[in-house]
Amino acid sequence: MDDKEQDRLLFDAWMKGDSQAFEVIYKKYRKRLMGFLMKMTRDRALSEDIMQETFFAAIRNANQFDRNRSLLSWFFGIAHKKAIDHFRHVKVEYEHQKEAERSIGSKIETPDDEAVNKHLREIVNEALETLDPLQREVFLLRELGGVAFKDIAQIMGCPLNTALGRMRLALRNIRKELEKRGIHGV
Amino acid sequence: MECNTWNEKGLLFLAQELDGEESRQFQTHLVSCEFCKKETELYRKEKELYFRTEMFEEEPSSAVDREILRVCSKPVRPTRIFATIPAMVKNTLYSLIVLAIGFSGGAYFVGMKLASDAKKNEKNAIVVDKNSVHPSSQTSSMAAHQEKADSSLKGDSAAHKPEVIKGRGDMSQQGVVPVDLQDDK
Repeated sequence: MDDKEQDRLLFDAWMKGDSQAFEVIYKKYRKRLMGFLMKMTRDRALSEDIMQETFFAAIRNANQFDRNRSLLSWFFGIAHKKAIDHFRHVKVEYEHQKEAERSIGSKIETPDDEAVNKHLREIVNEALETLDPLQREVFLLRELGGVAFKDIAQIMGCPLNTALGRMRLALRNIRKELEKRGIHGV
Repeated sequence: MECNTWNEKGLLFLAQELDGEESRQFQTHLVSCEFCKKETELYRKEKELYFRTEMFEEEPSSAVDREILRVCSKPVRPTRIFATIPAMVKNTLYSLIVLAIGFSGGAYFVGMKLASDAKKNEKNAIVVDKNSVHPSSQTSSMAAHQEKADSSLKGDSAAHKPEVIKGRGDMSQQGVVPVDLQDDK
């Protein structure tokens, strides 16, 4: 049974009232969603708020889940929409207010940092920070959320070729940034 | 030099989003295209080394975990049928209902007005029928009125005297009697 199928069974069990099923789903994807939101907002408190809103919206609109898509892709779609909605509301004011907190927020370390190569992680995340926001969104939706390109296009409201173009540019720019930081080619 | 096939299909191939035939075509293309081969290799290695999910993951706080698990672990209530109707359809429906109420209200008042007018006309018609005046006497009364008007224009002082209205107007003098007064007789 593949991951997608397993998620669908868990989702069905959740809908039937099995609270354990939701716990399994949540524990499986919580870090990925939090990571995605942190990269989008660069603010831990805000990311946590949006994370809650994402799951609350998911439970409210469970009947709208397209069973042909993956569950994670659906969660990422909701999280992306919530984050974009937030920025549409606060716009420039938010940018000014949180400017000082950004550098702190992006450097928050988690216990898991020890498990991965901390230095490399920092470099990759710094490279990611330099990307254009739209390129970063496509990159994260694809690499962290495993969202299909056609779904990314739908989530971001752009043609498939635009989504592919943004991803190509994101990869190219990340490579450049990694090289600047001493990681040359692979 | 960049390859258009990579731009169009490279990333879709790596994401396993090409259908069987397209995927086979791209694999064949990979054998002959150095650019696509290099890009494919590079992306696969980058993904393995740098784009692992744990590179980007973050730990949410335990308070958030608790809250989400508390709210979302409750059994999901079955969605009401009405809630499944998309918002646009819902809004259209509401607008139509408001319009329908408006129109029916308007039609009701117009109907009421027409009905009362019709009733009035009907009553008047009955009264005129019952007390129909002979054409010759009607002509003579009209002539009398004309005479009165002429004399007032000439400055006849008698004609300036205000007419005393007795009863319910002077129509009774011409043979038109209101229904209720007629009933009293």
